[in-house]
Amino acid sequence: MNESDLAAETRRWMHGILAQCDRRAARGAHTRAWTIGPTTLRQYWYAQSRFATFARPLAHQPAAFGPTRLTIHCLVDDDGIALGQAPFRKRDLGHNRSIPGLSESRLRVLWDQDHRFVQALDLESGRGFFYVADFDLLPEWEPPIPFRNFLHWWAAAEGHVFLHAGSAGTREGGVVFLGRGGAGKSTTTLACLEAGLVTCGDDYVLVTGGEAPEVHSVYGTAKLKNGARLRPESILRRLLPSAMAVADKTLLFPAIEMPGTFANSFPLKALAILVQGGESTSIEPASALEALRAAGPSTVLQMPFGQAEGLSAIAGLARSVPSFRITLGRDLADVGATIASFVAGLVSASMQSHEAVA
Amino acid sequence: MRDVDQAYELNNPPVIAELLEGEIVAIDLDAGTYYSIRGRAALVFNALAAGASPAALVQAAGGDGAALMPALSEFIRRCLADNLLRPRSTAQVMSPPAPVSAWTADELTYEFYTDMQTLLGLDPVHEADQKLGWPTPAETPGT
Repeated sequence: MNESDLAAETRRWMHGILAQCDRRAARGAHTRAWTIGPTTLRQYWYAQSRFATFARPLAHQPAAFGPTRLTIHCLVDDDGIALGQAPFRKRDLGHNRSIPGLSESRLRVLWDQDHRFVQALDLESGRGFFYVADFDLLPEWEPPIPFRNFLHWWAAAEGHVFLHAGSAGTREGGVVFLGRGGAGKSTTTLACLEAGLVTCGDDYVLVTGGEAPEVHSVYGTAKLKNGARLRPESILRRLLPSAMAVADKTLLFPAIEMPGTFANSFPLKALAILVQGGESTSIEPASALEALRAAGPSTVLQMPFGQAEGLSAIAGLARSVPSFRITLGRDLADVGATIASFVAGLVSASMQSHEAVA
Repeated sequence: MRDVDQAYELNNPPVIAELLEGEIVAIDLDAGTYYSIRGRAALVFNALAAGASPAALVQAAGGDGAALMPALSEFIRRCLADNLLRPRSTAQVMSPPAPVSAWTADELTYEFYTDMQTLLGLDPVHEADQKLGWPTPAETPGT
């Protein structure tokens, strides 16, 4: 089957399923909606009540009832919706289980055979579905970061970045923390909360571009690796009672437990590359290229579809705001205080710059 | 067609690349490997990915082909082995590459990093070994 035939068949298949979803929803459905940056996402679910757990990481940004940009139906077999025969085969699978033959279309499909789920989105209508054959097979990493692929697909199509990064700042501006898993993004984010800063997230944030890039919160969670050498103890005392164990990490819910620590968005003032190994915390200028190296591979290697656009958008961010290297010291209070002082300086410099222009 | 007239292109997919501050960051999405191509190597790689043939590149360098071609051929061989470039399958008339200063073998090199390959392990492309058919029915030929 050539690419255009595959896209046409896939569109017909998806729209048939979505028409069944509409009829099913008309008979009654559970639904919730959230605001994420400039978009809104609505979830429908039916027989499988465990889909309700998807709401918790997003609960800090509820949306009023009304039209939404993205609508995702969460399905299991008991919902009575027949998937029928999909038009793609195992040979059509590409990077991260996506169907690359659809990349020229506005359709996005991810098919995980091992965990037996399908995620599909029509970017034209913003409608899609998340089918799970057996909820028990769903990977542990999915519920804490619900709809990650849908949000990435939408963001890439709109020229935004669903960035693998932590974040901290004030409502006047802040930074994103770049680095691969284990670089210290979550611990640094929590240390910043103890120092009085707010965050938009510790692992994934949405960054909208343009001349004045902004960081937007997606998930109101923070993850801490079990047995971490450095732990922000005073904040953990408040968060651990409601925490969940996820694989080798503890999933915390600061946006629910300490709502003042989360911001829906703040202006992006700088990219900050995290480096471990300092005695005390220090911050120095870095090149845009270092930032691209720190954020590019770790972000795009997780993306099904849109990787080239993602890398290009990250390069665009690196060109538009300054980059810095933060060498993390051994004292978390010092980490938080140093970054808080640094952010205050960035915001102050930015305000003076705006006043000078005005 | 002579080897020196063969045109190439970025091996996309699975490779993506971005030029920033004179350096190319290229990522092989299948392998999880990423590459840093700097300086003169970045200029040469960019020209090759845009379709300049080795012969055209040597001409654009205005140098001695006998001196430049061996280093360029070795660079191309390595790019092909690492799947960064692939031969263009159709003959295309390319505009001449921008002038590039002559290179040495030492300059036509790049670095690669494999520390992100674990990301693929976290969210892997598994080869399913049981039935092909979910959501495709099992009896449907799949591969």
